[in-house]
Amino acid sequence: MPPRIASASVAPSTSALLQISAGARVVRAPAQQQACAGFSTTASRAYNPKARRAFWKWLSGPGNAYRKAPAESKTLYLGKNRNPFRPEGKDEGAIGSKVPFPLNPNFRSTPILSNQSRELIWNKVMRKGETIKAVSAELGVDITRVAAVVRLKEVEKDWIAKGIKLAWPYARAIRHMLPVKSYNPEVLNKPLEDINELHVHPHTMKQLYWPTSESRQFTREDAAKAFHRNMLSADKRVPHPELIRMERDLFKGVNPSKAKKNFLRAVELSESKAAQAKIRIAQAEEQDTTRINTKRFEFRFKEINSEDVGPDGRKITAVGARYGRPSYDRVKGAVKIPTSVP
Amino acid sequence: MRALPEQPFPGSVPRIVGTGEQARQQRGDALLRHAPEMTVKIRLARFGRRNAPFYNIVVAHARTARNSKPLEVIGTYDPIPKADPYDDSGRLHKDIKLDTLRAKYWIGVGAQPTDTTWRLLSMVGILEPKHRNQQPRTAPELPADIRQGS
Repeated sequence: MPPRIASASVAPSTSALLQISAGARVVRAPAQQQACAGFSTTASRAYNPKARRAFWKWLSGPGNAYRKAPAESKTLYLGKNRNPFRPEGKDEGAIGSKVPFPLNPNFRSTPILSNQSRELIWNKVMRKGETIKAVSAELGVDITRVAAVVRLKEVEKDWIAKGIKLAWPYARAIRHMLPVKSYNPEVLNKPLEDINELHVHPHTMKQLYWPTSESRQFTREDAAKAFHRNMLSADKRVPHPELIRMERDLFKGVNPSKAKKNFLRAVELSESKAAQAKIRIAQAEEQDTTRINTKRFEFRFKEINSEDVGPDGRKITAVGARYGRPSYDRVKGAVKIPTSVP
Repeated sequence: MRALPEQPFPGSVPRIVGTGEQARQQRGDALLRHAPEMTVKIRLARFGRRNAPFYNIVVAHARTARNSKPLEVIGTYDPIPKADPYDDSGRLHKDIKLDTLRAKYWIGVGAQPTDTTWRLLSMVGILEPKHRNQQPRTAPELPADIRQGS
């Protein structure tokens, strides 16, 4: 059997793609070529399905609009009538559209932060020493996203300092394909996303029949307690409880600049509290650890209580691999990739 | 009376018949010599997967299987050296969890650590190091008269 060689007309031809980017007005389908083993005397049958013919026709007609990439902050997606398989459809503008797949209008691509805005966030946090929560509230970017931007910017700057080559063309290509959000530090900007979304706690997912007295108030605190005795109220579980306090201050008629000052102080306090808690945990761990340095390795002996094994000796957090209990490290559906940063 | 066999099957305690002082003495000796060993050991029990060992530091009877349920788990030993996150100095560490109080107790009542556990326990000062200190040592000073004579 002769070796099978893919027909040049079936695979997207590089030259055709180059033509598109080179800006040729009329794009022609690559010519059918003889693609078979050199010793064969039979020419391969030309196979040019209708869909492909329609595609090439579309590309030289209404598809011409897609030859040039749009500006960075804009998108150029196929509109509903820009379906290459229906070239006779109306040519409606799709610049700035959020729907990249015309047949799936429910999928909307969400904007990403531009390089300049990521630099702005990094500058605010690392240079000016603003708290992550304050930056998040000011720019309307989620707390976790602000933290991620700062971390990744640090990695980027570290790589640049080390002379590691970065994939700039790739990043640029991605920015041309997605809506990009940029900030102007001089004016009031629209927020990128909702920053005070409440995480759906599993305790709140159960149906509850909770008779209450009509003559008494039933607050969010009470609702939380109804779900679980340790549950915090929604006002305390949101990422920015300080914003709620600020709004209350403004409602009471506190001077806006004073309310802002109070907010910044509260945010700083909450962040320093979280940092102190982390430091305390690390210190307690260090206190329990004995470090023995040998020539090759450092041995870290951590003091534990081997008697803390529960009433039946099978407590899940007891020290060591357990006896008579399967390890669930290969169970389906369990998250095996790390979910936190060390 | 039919004579009982000296030793019913190899490994068991030989039966010594008689009521005299000598027979009682012999019976006692035989029991000590042939009774099953009741040594309690501090040893490692291997868990983890292939090429990824992880050990429990256990107190167990010497003649029980390696991974059988021990008397007590007093710690763990992760023999795979690990680097600290964000540390590219190349220095690696091994993590050991140990209940030193229980380890001391079991040593006190005669539990015998294996060589590996001895090495670990000697690191935290529970035992004297078994093997000779490999540190270079300096010779003790010579007596004064010899020093002056040379």
